[in-house]
Amino acid sequence: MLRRNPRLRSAAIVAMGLAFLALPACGGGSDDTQSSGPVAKFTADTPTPPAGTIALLPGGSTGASVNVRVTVTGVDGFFGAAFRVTYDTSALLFRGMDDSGSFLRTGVTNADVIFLSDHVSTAGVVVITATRKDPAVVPPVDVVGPSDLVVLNFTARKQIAAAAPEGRLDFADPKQVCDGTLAAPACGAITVTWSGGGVSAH
Amino acid sequence: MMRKPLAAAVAALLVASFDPAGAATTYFVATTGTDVGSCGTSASPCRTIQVAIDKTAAGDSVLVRAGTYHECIVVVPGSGAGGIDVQTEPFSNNGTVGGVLLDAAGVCDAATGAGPVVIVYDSSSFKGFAIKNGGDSGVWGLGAVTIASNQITDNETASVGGGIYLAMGGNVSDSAKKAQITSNTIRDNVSGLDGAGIFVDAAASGVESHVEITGNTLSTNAAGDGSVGVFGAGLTVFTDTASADDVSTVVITKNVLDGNTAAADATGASLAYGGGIFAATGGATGAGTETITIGGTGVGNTLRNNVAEGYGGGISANLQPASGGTHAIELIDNGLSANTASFGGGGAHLFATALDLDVATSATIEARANAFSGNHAQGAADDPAATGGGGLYAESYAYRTPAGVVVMDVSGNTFEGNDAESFGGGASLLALANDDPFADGATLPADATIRFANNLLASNKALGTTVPASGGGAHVLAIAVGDQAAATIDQSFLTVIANQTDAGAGGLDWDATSAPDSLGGAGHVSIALSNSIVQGNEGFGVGGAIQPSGTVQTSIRYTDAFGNVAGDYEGQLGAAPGSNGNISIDAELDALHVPPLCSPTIDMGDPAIDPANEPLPNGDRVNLGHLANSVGATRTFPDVTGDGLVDGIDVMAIAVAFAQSTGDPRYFAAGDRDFNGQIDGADLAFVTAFYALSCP
Repeated sequence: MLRRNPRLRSAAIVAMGLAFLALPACGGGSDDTQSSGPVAKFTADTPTPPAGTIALLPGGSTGASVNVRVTVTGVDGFFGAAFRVTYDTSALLFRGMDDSGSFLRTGVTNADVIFLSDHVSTAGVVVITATRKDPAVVPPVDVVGPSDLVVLNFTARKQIAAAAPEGRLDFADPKQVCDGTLAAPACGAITVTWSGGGVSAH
Repeated sequence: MMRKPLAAAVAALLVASFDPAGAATTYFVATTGTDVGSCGTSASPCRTIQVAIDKTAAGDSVLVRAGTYHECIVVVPGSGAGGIDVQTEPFSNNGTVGGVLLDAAGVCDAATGAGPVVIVYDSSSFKGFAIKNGGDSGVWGLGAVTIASNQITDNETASVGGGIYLAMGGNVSDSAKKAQITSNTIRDNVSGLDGAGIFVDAAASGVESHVEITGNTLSTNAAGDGSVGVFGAGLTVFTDTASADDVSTVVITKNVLDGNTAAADATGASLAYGGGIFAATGGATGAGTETITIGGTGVGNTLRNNVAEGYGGGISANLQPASGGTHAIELIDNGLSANTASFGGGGAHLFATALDLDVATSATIEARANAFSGNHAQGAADDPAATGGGGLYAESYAYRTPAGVVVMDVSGNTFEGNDAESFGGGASLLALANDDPFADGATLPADATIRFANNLLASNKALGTTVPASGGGAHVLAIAVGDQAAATIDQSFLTVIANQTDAGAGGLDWDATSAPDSLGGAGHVSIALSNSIVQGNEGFGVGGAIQPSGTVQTSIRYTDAFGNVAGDYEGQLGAAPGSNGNISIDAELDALHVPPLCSPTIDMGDPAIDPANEPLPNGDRVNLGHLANSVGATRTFPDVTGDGLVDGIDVMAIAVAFAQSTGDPRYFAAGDRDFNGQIDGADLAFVTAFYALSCP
């Protein structure tokens, strides 16, 4: 019986990984000679949000791909938030939501939090939920400085001028911050200021 | 029995293919063989099949090599008792059918002795042949035989069973055995009487009778010589039980019946039933347990282009129990299309009759989950024989037989694009109860009830060619004679949409007769409709000749009637939106007539009905229409906050109330989507399943 050498397979996997790492990022990066797409950047409407604000702030960006942090600043008794973020589908492509660094996860288990996003049901709208579950088990959070609730990733589909409407990311109704109490048929609300921003791509 | 000389026995052992276990011997036949005493080995096959068969004992086999054989044979061990297996070598080798032709021309064809080509006796099997030109059937099966994978074509009989005639009864030796007719092609056979393709006499007397008919194709067989209206052209089945202890079952699955024709008598006075399949219990006595199952979930039959010069173009099913018997006929998951009946039941005809049956009797005839499409019921409305029912004609008669004895249930079917020239483009229903059938004053309670539920009636037509027809979706007629008689037709969970009619109601056309018996008391009629959608039909949505009175009761409850051309309800019915839970609003059905997520018919059914049959979240209340109160029901939009959106706000409402039970401070009913008294993961799952959807 022919026995295969597992070392050969391991070597192949390493080689593939190196090849992946060596690929230039789509749409740009440091080597302009291999880039033909736009390079994107997010600019917040409120770069330094005051207390009582949920704001979009810039995360990292790579070529046309741009991360946008949804941050909470200065909100006591924060249990969760539900909101929509609107964008222009001709200019931006929603790629996903990362909740791994959410402050809601601090000190609790995966079973204690709920993160949902949907961008399919309505074009140009990402419907987002980020909340803890069962306040008897996990209490609300007193949030001080700008803390990441979730991070959204978009890709610029084309060149977008600075401050152009097609680059806008805005919060849209219905949206709500929940304080962990029940106000049937919903949860108790906390009033906050919502602040968006814009993506440019060149 | 005469002993064979020892030398001869040894010779036989030498020439035959010998099983080391000594249990069975295989004999060979070939057109190149020779019928000598020692024939039958692979090297020295016999020339004729019968010679080889005559050498067999129980458990032996005969393999017939490719070629044409002009024989008419009897499949039974030469030693007499037990069964043998006769099949073709091509079939044995690789499943090839028809490589061996048994041609009865000049042997037992109609002009030469008129016999069956093959007779298969109890416990024997016969496989892989082509059989043709039989003068009295292609194959007879006598008892628990196996007739499989044959091509049986161009045979005839003046009697019954042109292709196959199967007789159980006294031919069956063992209750544990069943007859099987499987995977045959049965085409262009002719019978003077019933069952040009297959005729089955599944009588039981002392030994149980069990028959299975599966995977056959029966096409263009023709029954009827004009002397009498026949019962069945493609397949005819009669069960019967001589005593209460007898049992007879017939299962008919996965067959295709195409283009078979059942003829009336030449004068038209005696009509035919069942162009594709005719099935009847109580063939003679009916005292025991009899079950005929036509189809089954995922194993239904296909019936198309069959014709009956009478009733039941595709299927005619007839329930005829004797008092104390237990009879059932089921039609399940069959597809019936483009069949034609001259007078009623273009797709199918259901018939139940009960005379003086006591409460120990159980008689059920059901049609469930069948698809009736494009079938035709001919016959003008002024023809007394015309009963209509382009898709289905169902008739139930109770004479001095009390409630609960006979059950006729038509549920979960689809009727689309059928037509009738008289009544009921989709379906025609008749319930008749008579407490004094002989008009002699000898009365007893009588109850005839038809349940018609969860059916879709769409785009059917009741359009006459000479006189107006009525009841595009369905025509409903209940007749009760005598004050101990009750005729009830209960219609619920229907979707009746876009049906056409000449007159009356295009959706549901109702008619009733309450008549006195010989003692003078009038019968009681009840026709009811509930939890249904009646939309966009020609004429009235619901109406007809019916005139409600003291003995004729009508009821319309929890029904959405909308957009029917002449009006949703004919005036004498007294029904209107806003009363009895009725509404009038566009159900917004999709192209398949399914209520979408936001249909106003969701959760609008009778709140007294337990919605447990509907998938969660079900709103704790049934929907309207043919999918309601079933696993196919549209789920309820789990909008916790009632703002028309399911989003994070709904999720957070569940999140803050999570794990709360009834009576707890953070429990609230709107979050408890499955109404189990606790807000839990199931409720959260329902909301997340609909996440980001809206229902304005």
